[in-house]
Amino acid sequence: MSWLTFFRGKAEPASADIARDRLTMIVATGGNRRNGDDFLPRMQKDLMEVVLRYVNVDPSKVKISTERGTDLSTLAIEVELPPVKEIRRAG
Amino acid sequence: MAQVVTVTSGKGGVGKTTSSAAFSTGLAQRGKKVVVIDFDVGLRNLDLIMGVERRVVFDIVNVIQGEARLNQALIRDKRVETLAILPASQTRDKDALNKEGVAKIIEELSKEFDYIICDSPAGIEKGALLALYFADSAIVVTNPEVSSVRDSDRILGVIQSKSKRAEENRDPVREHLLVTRYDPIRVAKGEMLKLEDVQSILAVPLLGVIPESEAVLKASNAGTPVILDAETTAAQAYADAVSRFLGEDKPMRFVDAEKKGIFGRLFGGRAA
Repeated sequence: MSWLTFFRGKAEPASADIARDRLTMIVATGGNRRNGDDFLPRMQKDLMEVVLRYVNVDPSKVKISTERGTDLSTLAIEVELPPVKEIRRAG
Repeated sequence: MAQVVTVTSGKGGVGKTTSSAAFSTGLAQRGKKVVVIDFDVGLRNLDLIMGVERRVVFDIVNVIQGEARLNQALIRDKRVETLAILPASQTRDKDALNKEGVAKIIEELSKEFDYIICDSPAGIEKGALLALYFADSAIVVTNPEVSSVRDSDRILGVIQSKSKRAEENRDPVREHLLVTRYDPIRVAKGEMLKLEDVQSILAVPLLGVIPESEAVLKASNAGTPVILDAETTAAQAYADAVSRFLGEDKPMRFVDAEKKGIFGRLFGGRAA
């Protein structure tokens, strides 16, 4: 902090704080560590099996995504179903 | 039974080899029998940092492939009696190492040494995986910088899932965090991640903090592990880390910016 900041008014957030927040987002909330490797592909495969057990969908029409935030993280599973007449119950 | 300690980081250039050299030398100075192995096949550097590059005749690959006996490849340090170095090969590629070969070497070294320090290459591929596979403890070297912290988190995950201890469902590898190139003055200015932040993000017990120091480059220029330059802050910080590793209670030093007087402010200057 130099005397110049006195005249510049409100200081910008310290870059170290920005670094901490970004890291907290990707690391502290993430499955980065606990599973050792990325669990998403495996979860996608498992979920796909469950979906396919009930509905006959094109595997490429199932999308899984995650978004991590400091306050809220989401896991979104999007399954595009075929037209009603094509849905059949398996088993 | 010897304890296997892997020095790793994920990211390159954060101070793994510097730390391996300093830590091994420090343990040996405390009377422990220590061997430090360079796992960076193809890009060996530990020999240079330890100043024994002209004494390398055989290397770890020669031993694995039966071209030399382990004792022929070991270089005994001339400064600290109980310290030995097993160099990596400069000319072969990483595939020259394999689990069985490394297992044999570690088993044989266990008979003579108390500590086997594995200096891991960067990355999370074969060489790094082999370096951490046999670990009882891991020292994760991290710079207070975003990419280094994220890679450390990643390598911690790999240690938890890919080590022999994890595979055999034994007690997990003991993890230690070693923060290097820490600059308290930049931290005070808000330009560098705080120690507490790095530690809370990685959630691993802190083994030590090595301050940014000109002594590190000087030591590598000369081929002397920096811990032997005992007057310097880096050497003292490494010595503290060794003490903590051996279970002693040492407060962290060199983590706060010194309050500068008027002359310090006017004329600046950095700590050695």
